[in-house]
Amino acid sequence: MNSNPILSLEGLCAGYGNGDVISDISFSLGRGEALCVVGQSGCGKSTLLKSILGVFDLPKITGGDIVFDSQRLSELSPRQRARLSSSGMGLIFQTPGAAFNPIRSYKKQFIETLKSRGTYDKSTFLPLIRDVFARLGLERYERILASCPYEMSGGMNQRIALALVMLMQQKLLLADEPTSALDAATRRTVADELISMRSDGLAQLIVTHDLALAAYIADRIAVMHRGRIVELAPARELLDAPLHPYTRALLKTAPRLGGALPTAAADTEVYSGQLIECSPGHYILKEVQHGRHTER
Amino acid sequence: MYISPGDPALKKLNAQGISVSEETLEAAREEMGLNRPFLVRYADWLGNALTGDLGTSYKDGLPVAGKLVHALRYTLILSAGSLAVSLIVALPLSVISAVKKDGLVDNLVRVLSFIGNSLPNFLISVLLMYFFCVKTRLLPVIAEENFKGLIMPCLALAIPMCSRFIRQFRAEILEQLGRDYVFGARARGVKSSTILFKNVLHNAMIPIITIIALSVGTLLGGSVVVETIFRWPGLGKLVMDSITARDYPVIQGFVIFSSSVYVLINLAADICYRRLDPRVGEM
Repeated sequence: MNSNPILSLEGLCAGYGNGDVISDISFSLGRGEALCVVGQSGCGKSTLLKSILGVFDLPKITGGDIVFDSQRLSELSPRQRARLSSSGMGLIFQTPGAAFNPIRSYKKQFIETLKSRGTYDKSTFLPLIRDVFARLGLERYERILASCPYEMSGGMNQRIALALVMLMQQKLLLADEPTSALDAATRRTVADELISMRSDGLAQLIVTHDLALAAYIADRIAVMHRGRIVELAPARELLDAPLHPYTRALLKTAPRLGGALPTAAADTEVYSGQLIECSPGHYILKEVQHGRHTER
Repeated sequence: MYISPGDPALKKLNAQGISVSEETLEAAREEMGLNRPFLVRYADWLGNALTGDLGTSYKDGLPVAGKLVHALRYTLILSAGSLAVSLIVALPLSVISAVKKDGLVDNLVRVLSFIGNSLPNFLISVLLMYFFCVKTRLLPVIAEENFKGLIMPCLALAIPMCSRFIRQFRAEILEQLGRDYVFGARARGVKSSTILFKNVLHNAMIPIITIIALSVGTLLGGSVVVETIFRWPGLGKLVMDSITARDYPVIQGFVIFSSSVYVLINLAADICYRRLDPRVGEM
């Protein structure tokens, strides 16, 4: 699906021990590209991110494979895999600041992160921080560094987490609902920064409920439902001319100011089969069996 | 104590081997001030206590403060020894147990700590005596005031305390290990040792300090059972002997002392909380 991908998923299946939560997920992501994964709560979006990152005990990958930076992850030992993931992938949590120890100063946490990766240089640390913070509109960097995450607002915490990703010069950013806890203005700032970070070649896989955010920042959008990708297409094309019935239902649910509350998207399908390319770059899962859903 | 049966004057005379008649008993009561109403005696005692005078013992006429200080020295030695042994064993074991959750070491540690936690002090004391004094004859039955004498009372206190520490420390460390910041640090590739020692243990220290503070308070209040069994001349034995002799001034002095210890230990714990977690100072 992409000529020079940083990340490729090949029929990935994963779960928590009671059957697969995500199944047969395939797509690739190019350098500097942003792919947004949208879908309802519980459709497997966060499981997908955790499976790719692979530093958590769960979920377990039960089938398929992941190729990251030309390395097939199934061929690596858990230790090698964790090292590769942490050196090349950055993770932004849904809850701002959750990724940081709330009562340890940012400075200590930045330094211990860089030291663990062997990239800490005392002489360049503060100038680098100053530049990165300035790009994200974070003023008075020394005061921020001396603060603890619990002292910061959600927007500040999220931007500081982005700053660390930039500082680590990673190749892939995995973001789980990066703007869900932010006010409108901060959400826009973070979205703009996500776009600008791509100019450095940073690929982004962003999981979100927020269709407006996906429309704003994504090159492509994948729609997930019941653990499967049901449609994957360039963002504008998917939003303007969705092909899959679930995508159409999901887009109708997007709330608009002054509009009536939409009906929820259907949640009774069981999917099978493979994504089929309907037009260049536009994939859809065609085999749908209505009303045959059984709880897993 | 006042409403419990037993006459301090009678007990004093009996202890001195004096034949007790109505006259001698009445004279002793008068001398000890026991004929005055309870509330008057209490007000007198309280007034003196506020000036630092805790009175004299009914039993031997020695100043209560001096007796408490003398016994405190032994209690401090015993408390420090048992606390040190408990922490030296419990901290590494609880960390290993939590990090290697459900592994062989964890299961073994959990079973042993469960057993240690279930055994009462007096039973541990008797078992230790049987092993060290009767079977192997390594240690004296009655504790001498030296290192050898300290071993058994120290172990009798340390075994259940250490078991309780392991279970509670392990639970706190496990709770911290499940926090988002640990996943975040792992995702960033932060070394496991840095996550454990600089983040998890630091954050787990607040509840751990609470547990330690409560134990120190209990230890400094005197370990009645253990000190009595091993005849260790600490506060626990002093207060037990004083209760038997209805030595009210010593008992009252002990109550004041142990309450003050609890207040001071809690104050010290609060200061530690503030140093460990800056959020505490902002509440």
